[in-house]
Amino acid sequence: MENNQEDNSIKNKVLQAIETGKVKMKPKWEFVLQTILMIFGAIILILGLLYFFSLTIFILRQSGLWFVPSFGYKGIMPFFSSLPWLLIILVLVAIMVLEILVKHFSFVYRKPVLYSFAGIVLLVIFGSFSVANSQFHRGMFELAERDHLPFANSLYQGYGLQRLENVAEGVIRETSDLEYVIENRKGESITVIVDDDTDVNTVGQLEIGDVIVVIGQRSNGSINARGIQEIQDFPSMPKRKMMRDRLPLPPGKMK
Amino acid sequence: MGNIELKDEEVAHKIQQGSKDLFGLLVERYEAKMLRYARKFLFGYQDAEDVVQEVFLKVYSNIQSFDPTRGFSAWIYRVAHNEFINTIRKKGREPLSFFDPDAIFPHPVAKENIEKDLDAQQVKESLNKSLDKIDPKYREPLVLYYFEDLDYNTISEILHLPVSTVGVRLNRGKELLKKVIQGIN
Repeated sequence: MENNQEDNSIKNKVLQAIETGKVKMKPKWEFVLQTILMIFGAIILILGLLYFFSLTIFILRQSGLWFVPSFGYKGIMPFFSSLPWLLIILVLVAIMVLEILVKHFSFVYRKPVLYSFAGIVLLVIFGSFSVANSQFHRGMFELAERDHLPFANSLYQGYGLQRLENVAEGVIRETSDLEYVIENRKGESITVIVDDDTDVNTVGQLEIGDVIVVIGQRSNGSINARGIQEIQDFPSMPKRKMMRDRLPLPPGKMK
Repeated sequence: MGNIELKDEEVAHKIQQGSKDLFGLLVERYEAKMLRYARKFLFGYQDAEDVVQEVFLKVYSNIQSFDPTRGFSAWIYRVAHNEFINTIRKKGREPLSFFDPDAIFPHPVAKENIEKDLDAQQVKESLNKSLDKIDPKYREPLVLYYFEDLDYNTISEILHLPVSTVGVRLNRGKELLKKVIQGIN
């Protein structure tokens, strides 16, 4: 009896609120729009992720940082200290936001988070490598170099031409017994000083026109090389073979 | 065919098309269930009636988002779940973590029904004695399974969790319940 009175009271209050217009039924288009915006938001986030992660890969290749892990333990510190962390954090945050967004869809929330997270990460990795391997960022970078990219000039110039503290890459322009002079992407000349502790990883003898990545301490236009890595596949670098003469490496540096 | 014989989904569809008067029928059908759910899950909180009234107002307001090709029961329980969680958050008496490790990794799906028949009455009695001592994360699936008689799939739909996670939470909830009852005794 008490229950009935209670139940009726709830029903009456609810119906009264509806009749008096205190509560209104939201139109269907509002929900449709909400779903469309959610899907649109997810697509924009995915495209953003592909753009920024592929840009990160492009920048790593562009700066030579991509090849630094091949120096082994010597490359670990320069690699991590020179990574474009802002872009990486942006990508990680976007992945988390995307995960939260897609959790609204039943095909996602009915499966463990690990599956959707792995799906997003795989999509971003494979998609980004495809974009990074295309000419997209190269074209954008070249436009930015000529100041023809109004909204992204600084992004490409800032990251693409950034000067890394412990890493240098460039084309060999001159060589002597214990030194190389390389020209980087900015057109700056850097003297690479080689000593007995320098690890040199090359396929053959280094020659003028070869592209190398160097790790070591930089100071005033020179770098004390802890490691030198020849880059075979480096399409982004203007590999001008001005002198074809093969030049010898400093003694005892060949591997 | 009278309205009384219509399925919940058909009633909801008619309301969507403009038969607002039929909303009373849905309130009648779900009042008792919602009150029981609120009284068990929000044990020790404010008047369950106020929260349930708010649930029905939300249901009416959002009924155009309901897809009549899917189950109405799971949908209304989902609306109630959201409202109840908001109530717990507002009161701030019990922690509700955003991060849920149970939902991250896949788990083997536990068997249902057989076990339920064996100890359902015992779990219900234990749960009634110690509702306020069980974390909301485990209390809610226990209430939905043992008091609302919902299956894993429906609970998964209501809580937006994988089915396997529902099984994990029910098992952990029962273990917690045993410990709490042992402590009381």
